Amino acid sequence: MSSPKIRVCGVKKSFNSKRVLDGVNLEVMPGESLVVIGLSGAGKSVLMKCILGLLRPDGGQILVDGEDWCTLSRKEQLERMRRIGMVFQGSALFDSLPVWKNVAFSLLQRGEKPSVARTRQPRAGTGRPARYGRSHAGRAFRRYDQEGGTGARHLP
Amino acid sequence: MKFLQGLGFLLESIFAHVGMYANTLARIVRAMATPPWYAKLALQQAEEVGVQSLPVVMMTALFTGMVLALQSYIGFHRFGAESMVATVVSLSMLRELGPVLVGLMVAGRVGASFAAELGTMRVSEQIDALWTLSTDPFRYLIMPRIVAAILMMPLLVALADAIGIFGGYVISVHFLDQTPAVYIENSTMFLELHDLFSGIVKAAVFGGIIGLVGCSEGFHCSGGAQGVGKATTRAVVVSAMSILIFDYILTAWMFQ
Repeated sequence: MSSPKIRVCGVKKSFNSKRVLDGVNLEVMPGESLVVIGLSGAGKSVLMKCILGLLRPDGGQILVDGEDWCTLSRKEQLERMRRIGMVFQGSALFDSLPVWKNVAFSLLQRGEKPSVARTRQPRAGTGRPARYGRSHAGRAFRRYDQEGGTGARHLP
Repeated sequence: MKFLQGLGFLLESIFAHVGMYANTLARIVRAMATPPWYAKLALQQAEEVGVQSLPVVMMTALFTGMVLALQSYIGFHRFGAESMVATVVSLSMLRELGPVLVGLMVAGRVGASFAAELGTMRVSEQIDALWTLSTDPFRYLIMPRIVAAILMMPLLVALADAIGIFGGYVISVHFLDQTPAVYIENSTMFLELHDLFSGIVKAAVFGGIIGLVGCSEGFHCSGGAQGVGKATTRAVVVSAMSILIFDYILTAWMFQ
């Protein structure tokens, strides 16, 4: 039997006197989808941010691929973030950058030339680059940039 | 009782903010020891801090030099020491007015911009998004801004010194009937290299304060649009107050 991709054991998180997470436990197996549903303010985002390392839990353990993220340094966490994708509630696109730079952000940070990064993006799951220059998205990005648009949250 | 409670809250807030600035400074110093340094972003910020501030700085320096010459002349005329106007203008600009006035103007323009920009990114989760894209937001956002502010402030102050002295020259020579040769000679006669360097050192420190306070306030802000507004206001007020306080400390240290 395979080990869980994500294991959350007794995670606690409080803000001042307000206890948001109080001993949360969950496991996500490889290939499994998990939905966390709750009222506004129930702590869904706080749980996600704890798993991502954006917030440090007050107690408990978070294991991703068997590694305890709470004990990793910031540099080690950043290196492991390459394996994780996150879509924020409000999109959190970089509104000072054009659309193509939002899409190619990771490539540019890894030292890819802008001219190359603009026409390539990693194919999901494979890590291999895939051209989208002639795809619908590629045409959309190009058209959007030509129209002078920067920072729209929704692509045309 | 309420007074004591208010005083307690005030002191707690002051210590919390001082701690926040100190923590940011320590992290910046640590981060600078290892790559990535984001030199291109630092250059972009240098353009924002330096080149974009030129009109404000030049206007401030020009009129300060002109007013200083006029006021000095009126004062010195009472006991026949008009020839000292040039010396007063150049010494004041280099030692005090150049760094302090440029610092205050840049704090209003750039410090506010840093706080508002990073604050907006914080409340719209763009800073969290940077983290999830394997990019350290601290290095990517704060380090280039502080480096740019520290490097560009001395250049702005050197330019402001020159323009301020030129402003004094224009008033003295064209309106107060002093001869150009005497004005230039008196400007440089009592100046020492130490006067120039003291102003440049102050400028670098003020640049660090502006970058540190503006970025810290924006980076740690919360509370939506209102929070961004408060962070921006705090960034300008704290920067301006800190510049004046550190000006005294540096002057006492360098000239005593």
